[in-house]
Amino acid sequence: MKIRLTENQYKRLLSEQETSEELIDYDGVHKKMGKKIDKFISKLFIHIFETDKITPQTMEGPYEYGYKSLVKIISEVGDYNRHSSLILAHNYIKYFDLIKNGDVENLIGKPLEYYALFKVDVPLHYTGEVTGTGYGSIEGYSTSPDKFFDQIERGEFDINDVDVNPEEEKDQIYWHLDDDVTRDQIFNDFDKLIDKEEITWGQWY
Amino acid sequence: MVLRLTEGQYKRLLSEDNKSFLDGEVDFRNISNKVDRFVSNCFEYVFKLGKSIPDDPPYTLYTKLFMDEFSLTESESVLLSHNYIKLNDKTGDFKKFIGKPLEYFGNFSWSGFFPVSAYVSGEIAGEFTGYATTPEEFYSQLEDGEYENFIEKGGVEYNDYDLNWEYDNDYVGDSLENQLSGQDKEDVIDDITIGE
Repeated sequence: MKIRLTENQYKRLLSEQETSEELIDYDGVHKKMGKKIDKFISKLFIHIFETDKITPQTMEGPYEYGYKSLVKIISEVGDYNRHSSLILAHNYIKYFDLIKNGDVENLIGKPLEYYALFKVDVPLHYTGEVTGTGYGSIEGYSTSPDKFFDQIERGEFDINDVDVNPEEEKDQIYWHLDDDVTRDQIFNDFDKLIDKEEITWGQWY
Repeated sequence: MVLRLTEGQYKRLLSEDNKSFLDGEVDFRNISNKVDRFVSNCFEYVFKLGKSIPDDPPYTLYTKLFMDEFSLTESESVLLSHNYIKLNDKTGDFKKFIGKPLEYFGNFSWSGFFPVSAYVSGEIAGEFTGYATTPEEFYSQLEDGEYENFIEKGGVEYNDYDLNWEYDNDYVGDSLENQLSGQDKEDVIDDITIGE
């Protein structure tokens, strides 16, 4: 059967195709997977649900504890590469209601939504503790040097006028991310710091 | 009345020091090393002020009073405060102590090494990563402060001048113990100086 298209219909279909392919084939490793759920994927999803009982609730939490196990199962059972498996894992959640009902027919043909790791450059704020040695004096009120010595032994003194020379200790700074300050800066200077155009795809890991 | 002295008594009186404390180490302008009429009057005046006295009063309770009322220096006032507490038998009579030695009480210091620490902050170039369906969605996630991970790129840039150093109190005691245990007590005492 031949279908006759108007010029507008033809252009729209062309652009739809281009957009979808650009997403799905972003890194050229998704040849095996189409843009929609096919029979194999729908059966794979239902098999995973019946076998591993993975639900959206069991996947809540950070990526490491949620998606990772599902991605691994899809990759092993379906023989997909890891990026394709991540996209399928995302769509497993998206179409979970159909999957749990074993609705193969309704699953087939559903569009696969792209899902990937994105990244953007920002300054990270770090805080570190640096240690050193200071030369100074301890002081205390007393009736004689001997009594003051006893006070020092008991820890009864004030430290005064420490002259610090940290030069030798510079390399021993223990840095850690100051998450609050970093988040505050992103929040306060969002428009200045983050340009939507600079968001890129992250390295899959 | 005329007293006749032996040569020994005469020499002893000449050399007798009524002024300084700690074998001549400390000297005060306004007070001697004994309770005199001025000091006893000061003590009685302070007593009459009726300042309520705790069981074990700190000398600082009276220091400002001696400074303000009698125009004494802080060091003199600290010493008199200590002796006022020591001699106060709650009778209000301090004249009976005239001629008695005043005990030195002042600030001593000893120099040594102390562990210190400071916090330093800096910036590092890095990237935030997160999972999303589109760059726009990831942008929205960032706006909400949501991100999956961060990756450092390069080293931390920071300024190490003008650091706010603090004594590392957890280690001051250990450090001091180590320094004292490595020296003779007499040597340490010799190094103790009288502070301001």
